[in-house]
Amino acid sequence: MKDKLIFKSKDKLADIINQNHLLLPILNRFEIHLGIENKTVEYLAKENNINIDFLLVILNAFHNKDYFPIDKIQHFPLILIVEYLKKTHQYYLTYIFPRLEKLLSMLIQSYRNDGKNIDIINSFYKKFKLELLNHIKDEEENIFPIILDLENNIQKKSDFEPINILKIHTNVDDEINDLKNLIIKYLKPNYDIHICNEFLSEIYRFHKDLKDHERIEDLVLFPKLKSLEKDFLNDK
Amino acid sequence: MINKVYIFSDSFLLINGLILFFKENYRIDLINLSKISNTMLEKKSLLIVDNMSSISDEIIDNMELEILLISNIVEQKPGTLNIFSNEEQLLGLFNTYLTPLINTQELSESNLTSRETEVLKLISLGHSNQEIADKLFISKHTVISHRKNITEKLGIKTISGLTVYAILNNLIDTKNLDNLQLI
Repeated sequence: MKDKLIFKSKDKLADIINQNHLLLPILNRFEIHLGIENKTVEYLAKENNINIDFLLVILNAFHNKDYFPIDKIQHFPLILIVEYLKKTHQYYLTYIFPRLEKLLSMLIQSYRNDGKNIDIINSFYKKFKLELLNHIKDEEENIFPIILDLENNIQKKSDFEPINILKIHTNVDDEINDLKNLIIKYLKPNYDIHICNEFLSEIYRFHKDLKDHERIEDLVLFPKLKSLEKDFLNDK
Repeated sequence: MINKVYIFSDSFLLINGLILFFKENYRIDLINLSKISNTMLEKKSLLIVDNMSSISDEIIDNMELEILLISNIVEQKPGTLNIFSNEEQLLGLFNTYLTPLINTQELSESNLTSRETEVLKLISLGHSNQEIADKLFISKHTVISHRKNITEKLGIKTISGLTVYAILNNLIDTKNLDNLQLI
């Protein structure tokens, strides 16, 4: 924690980005765009109509994996959290996947000799992507609406059944680790090394983002869902 | 830490069975001794014997040997190797002596043993633990323990990841198989 001080509302956002540029996509999820001069987090939050406490918690939690003030986060309306998670989904769908696929196709084209090997990596990537897409679809179409209905007390279904959290958890994390290791350890380097480095860097960046995303779900969203479900079923 | 593993016995079955076992599970050459003497042994080794009278306490102390006595008594006693042990029990017994030896080998190379390779091939072809156990005549528990070792050695956890590894290393024939379907 020593070298990872907590960002405060009076900090200049430009200084924060200079400390950790990986926070840039997070800012975009809050519709904060650059050209921020020397404005503080507080100022920018007001200017853009953003809940300052929520913004700070998200920035700090992403920046420092030891920082996760569950008490604080639990007081935020679920709609804020759900909206944020949806924005990250959008980021994966509209930026990360196309970006990874572009790099992967460049990598495949640069591959010399036996193209069979890189094709297999490509198949593995496709399977990983498909699982993640299903996960995203399930959350957006089923889980998020149920959570919001429960929170707003408009869940009426008499046949309402608690959601099986276990089913939501996929082995996406293991698969992304395998993808890294297969390339780093076992794929013969008959490719353009610079493209491969870029592809791997992008994978690492994506993995960090995914972990942060999962942490918010596991520590906040799902516990809150369970407690709402319990209240609902007791009232019925 | 054990330097070498020796056996001193007349039993053709035991010697060759254990040689195979050590090769497959530890990539160690079990050394078959024709006689026991200081000059033939390396210090701090494991010696498997079928008769305690064939070795003197003096040699054991001087050479700092660990001794395993082959026995046909079903009850497992410390320091004995039961000839009716199954593969799983043998692994349990020898892992206590040989873990350090395996680890130093793993630092330099992460090659799988031939048994682990067999298991990996079957995993890649989509077989369940029970099916693999039946095919290789080992227990399901042993299959699971092999899987754990494979995952640790390779750094690959998912079944599809292991399949990719198997294809990259030409362990399975993919000529007539569609990659995506297999993975």
